[in-house]
Amino acid sequence: MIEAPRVLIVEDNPGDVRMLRYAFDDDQWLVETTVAEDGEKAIHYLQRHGAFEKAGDPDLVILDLNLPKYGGTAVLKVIRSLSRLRKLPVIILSSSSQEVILKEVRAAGVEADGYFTKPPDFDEFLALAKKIRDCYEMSRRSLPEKKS
Amino acid sequence: MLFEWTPRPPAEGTRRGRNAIRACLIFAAVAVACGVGYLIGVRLGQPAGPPIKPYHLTFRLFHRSATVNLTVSELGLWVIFSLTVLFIAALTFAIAAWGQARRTARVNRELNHQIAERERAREALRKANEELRQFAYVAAHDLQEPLRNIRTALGILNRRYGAALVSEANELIAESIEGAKRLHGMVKDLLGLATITEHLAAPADAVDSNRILREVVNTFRGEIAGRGAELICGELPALRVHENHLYQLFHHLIGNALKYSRPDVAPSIAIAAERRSSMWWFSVRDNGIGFDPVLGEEIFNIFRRLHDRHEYPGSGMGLAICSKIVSAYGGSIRAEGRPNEGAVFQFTLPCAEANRD
Repeated sequence: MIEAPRVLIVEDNPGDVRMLRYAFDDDQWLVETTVAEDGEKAIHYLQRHGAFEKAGDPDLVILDLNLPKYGGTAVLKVIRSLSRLRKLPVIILSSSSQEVILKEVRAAGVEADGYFTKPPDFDEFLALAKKIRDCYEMSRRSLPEKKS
Repeated sequence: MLFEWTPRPPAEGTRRGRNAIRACLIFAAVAVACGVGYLIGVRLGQPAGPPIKPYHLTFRLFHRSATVNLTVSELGLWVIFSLTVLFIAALTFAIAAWGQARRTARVNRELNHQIAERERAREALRKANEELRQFAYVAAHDLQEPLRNIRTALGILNRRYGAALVSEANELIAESIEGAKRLHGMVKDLLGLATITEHLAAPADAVDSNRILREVVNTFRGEIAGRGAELICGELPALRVHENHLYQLFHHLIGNALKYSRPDVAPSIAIAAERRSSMWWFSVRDNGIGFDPVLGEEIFNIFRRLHDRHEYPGSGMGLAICSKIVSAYGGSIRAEGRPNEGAVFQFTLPCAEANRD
């Protein structure tokens, strides 16, 4: 059996976390989700700092931009600065428009693997889960190529 | 108009000073003329007579001990008299000029004060407007999250537990989903309205409005196909307008043309543009239900609805947004219509060369 991908959801709105989990479930995409409610927790988790000493590396990060303590771009910067996580697929999921998300992330001088706006509609959210899955699988396929 | 003060009549102070000077000069001239005329008269009257009788003047200052005795000729007396008159004239002139300068300074001070006051009021108004806009933006932006939570939670409730609930519970859920959806539409439109600032800076590059129209038409393709609607698009210009604004304009106007169509007639929508001097005149014409021409202006007011929202759903903000967008670029919008005879929406936007800064 293939091991379920570990997804780190960095999100302070529990409603969005619940919806994401439901949408992955609805898509029958078996994932193991971990939630970090703020930027600081996410950074500690990724750096295996303190309580997260034994935490494994996630296979995918779904990152909100508007977060307490440290913003999403700060978390993304940390990810890109750690050599073992540099290639980690990161998907930005924010309530701002895609244009605003792109502007904010690029202004921080980093890049993510996908940029999505949180859909207000239930069915659109279900469709988003598929897009996130596609995005994850595409970046996974391109990983070995990048390494060579 | 930047300032709307009405200055007091500008010549008032000046005129008064000038009149005083004129009066003094006339008085001095008359006095000198009288003196000269008198002397000439005396001389002519006594050609070889005795010399002119001197005058003895006694100036007593304070007390008899301080007495100055002066003996002056008649001519000398007139010279003194004339000099005194000239001195008084000069003094009057100086006082008048000083008074005038004081008055001018006071008027200037008042005007400067008024200008500063108006500048302050204008700045306060600008700040208040900006704060209101930001408030609307933040309110609308922050409302989106709980609203999304409501919609997704209701969606999960419906999907996961709908089958286990009685039909009334399912109806309530469906109603709540519908309400949240409508509320979301309003919040989104409010957010759209709050992001349109007055006096927008036009973008540097022109946008092809044909492309934007194609994108808008594409979003309505389901509805167009479903209603068998016909769309006639003329050649549209490139404009220096933000893409998003042009998109919203077409989206609301075409959306309205599709929404307010007659149920028994396939919608026909014609979009055209015509250049008139520095402006492009766009028109979106439909064959829908039209409206009472008396309401021509009112339909652009925010939240103004002419129809029952159950029959024709919407936030009631679409045309208010259109109106705000065109006026931000110095254009205007108007509507013509008759009940059951369709409507024409015309709006103007500056041509790409005209709004080059």
